[in-house]
Amino acid sequence: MPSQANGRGPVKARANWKKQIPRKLILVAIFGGILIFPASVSALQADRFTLAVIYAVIGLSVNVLMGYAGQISLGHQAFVGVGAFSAAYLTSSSGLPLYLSVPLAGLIGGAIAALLGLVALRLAGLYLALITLAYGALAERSIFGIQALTGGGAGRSALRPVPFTSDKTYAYLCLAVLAFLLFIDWRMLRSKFGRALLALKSNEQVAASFGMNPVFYKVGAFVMTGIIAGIGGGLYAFKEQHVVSADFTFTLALTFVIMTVIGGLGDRTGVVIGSAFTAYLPFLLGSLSETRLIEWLPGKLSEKIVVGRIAITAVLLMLTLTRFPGGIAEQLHPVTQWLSGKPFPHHDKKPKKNKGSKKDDSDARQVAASKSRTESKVG
Amino acid sequence: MATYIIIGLVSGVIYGLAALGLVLIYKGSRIFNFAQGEFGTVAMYTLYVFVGLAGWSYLAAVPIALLVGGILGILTERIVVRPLQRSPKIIGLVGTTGAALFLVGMELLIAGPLPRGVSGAFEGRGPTIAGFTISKQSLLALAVLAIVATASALFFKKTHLGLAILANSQDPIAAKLVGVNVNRISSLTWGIAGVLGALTGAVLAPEVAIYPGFMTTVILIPAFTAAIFGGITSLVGAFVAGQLVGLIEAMGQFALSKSDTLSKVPEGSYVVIFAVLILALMFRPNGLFGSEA
Repeated sequence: MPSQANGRGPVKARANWKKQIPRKLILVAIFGGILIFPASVSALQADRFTLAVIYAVIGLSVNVLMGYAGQISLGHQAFVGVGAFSAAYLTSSSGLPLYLSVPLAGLIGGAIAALLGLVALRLAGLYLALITLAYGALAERSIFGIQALTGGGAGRSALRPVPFTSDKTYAYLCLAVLAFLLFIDWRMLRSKFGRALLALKSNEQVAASFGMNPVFYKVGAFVMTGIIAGIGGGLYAFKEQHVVSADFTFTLALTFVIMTVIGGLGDRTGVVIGSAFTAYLPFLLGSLSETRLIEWLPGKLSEKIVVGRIAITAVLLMLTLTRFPGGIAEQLHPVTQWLSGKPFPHHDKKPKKNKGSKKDDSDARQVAASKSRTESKVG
Repeated sequence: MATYIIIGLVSGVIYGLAALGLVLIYKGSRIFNFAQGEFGTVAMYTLYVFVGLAGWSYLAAVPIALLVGGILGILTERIVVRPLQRSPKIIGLVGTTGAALFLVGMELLIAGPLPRGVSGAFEGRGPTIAGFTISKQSLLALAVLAIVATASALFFKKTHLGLAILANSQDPIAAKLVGVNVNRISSLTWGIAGVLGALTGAVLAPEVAIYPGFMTTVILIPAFTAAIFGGITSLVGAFVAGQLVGLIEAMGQFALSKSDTLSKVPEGSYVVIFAVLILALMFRPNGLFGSEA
């Protein structure tokens, strides 16, 4: 949530200054906690944290396309894979250092995404979804199997250079990249480019009649998605230090879409939380299977519960789509509002068109919010 | 070369059958059903349970697999499609991918990642044409496809129920006004599509190694290509285009295998299918037989 605290006059702001202290403290605690976390836990935990950060980067990439531009990608594993293999290739074959190969992976990802964006100019909606799905399968099965580029089934290695050889320092590098991309994402959305994307999403004809060039902005959205996904892929390559094509399956592409929807389309805080949660889900389930909580489950199901994460994310998706269209972001909205310095928004009652039932306030707000969400979601 | 043609026609049968289900859903609900492939995979696993584990004969187990497919179709409609009816089409589509992912997840959870096999209805080999032996199972698939395509074409042209499904897809409100039970029609459409998906899986099951998500990874994209190439609303088109896509895929693989550099690209069929899909959408978005409804 961008801070908009200073909308009032300076006098009032000074009067509210004391009220803001606990909020700022909580914010500091949250961000401080995230900052300290990788250093204070084991290397294994730091590695998992890195995965969550990388998922958040990928979630931001999906969000540019789905949340801002109103397009859909069911082949995002290909975008990420292109970045991962580019980074690995540049490092292992050309010997480029990490700080060059990851940005270059982003550029390559952007260039390839631009090609797909050109297709999107002619096609939209269901057909574009189908094309991206087919592109994902093509990349997963065919392109990522080309011996010269990706090492075939054996994969390619991407060893981390000196300051980042430990899992902890690498976690901080990924965190820094995520912070940078969040900043870029925030500034982008506030720029002419971002406003044009949102305008084109809500009504292409009207936006075009105001002089926005749909071709430029659509391809631009794809390029930005590709760049972020490529960077995410590059980071993933160096996290794993060895990339194989089997890493980029179509279930992964669906997971990327789902984690973004669960987080809340168009809301970067929600997307980061949703993505990190999805990345952590297998580990959470893994530690759940070690506790006694699910001993009652029949047979070996309790041992296999980790596998159930795919089904669980699918169920979460359905719940999000049908009951909570705003995703995690919508649920956290009061808290994020409060933390960003505005009053806790349970005061403003807006029982617009309560669909005739005796729901309480939060439900009414939910309905109203969900309506605006669904309308603004994807065109 | 001749071998490639036969291979293409044989896989084309499966594509056509899968495309029929996709076209049916598009006619009924105006969305792409990304779960169609998984209806087939679940049917395959059902066959595996009854044929492979319980020792039933293949033909006895097929009706159960079809029933499971039909139930899955109806459940998908009730749980996913109907609640999202008023949302944008893309959201409905994300919903069906969610259904597909759920089914893949359940397959992984229950059956595990190892590939499984099912024995078919027939022993021994089938006829040999141009040096390529066609299995009797493939002939069965061809017969099934011909029957199903004819039956469903007649169903939409001649019966009240078929017309009601079309009416519902074109204008749900008008359909409601003339007394069509829209919800029941929608359930029915998805039930039939589920059975079709299961049928595709069932005829293919003895020929392949079954793993979670099999139909989605291997069949779904060529099937969509066939459905679009045939004109997304045409059942006959899906039938014909299925064969065409199978043929083009095989010919493309043949061409790729002749070239020194291109033959190094693995799984060339995906390249060919992607090219066909792009070209079809770019230059002939209404397909070969496309028309409204």
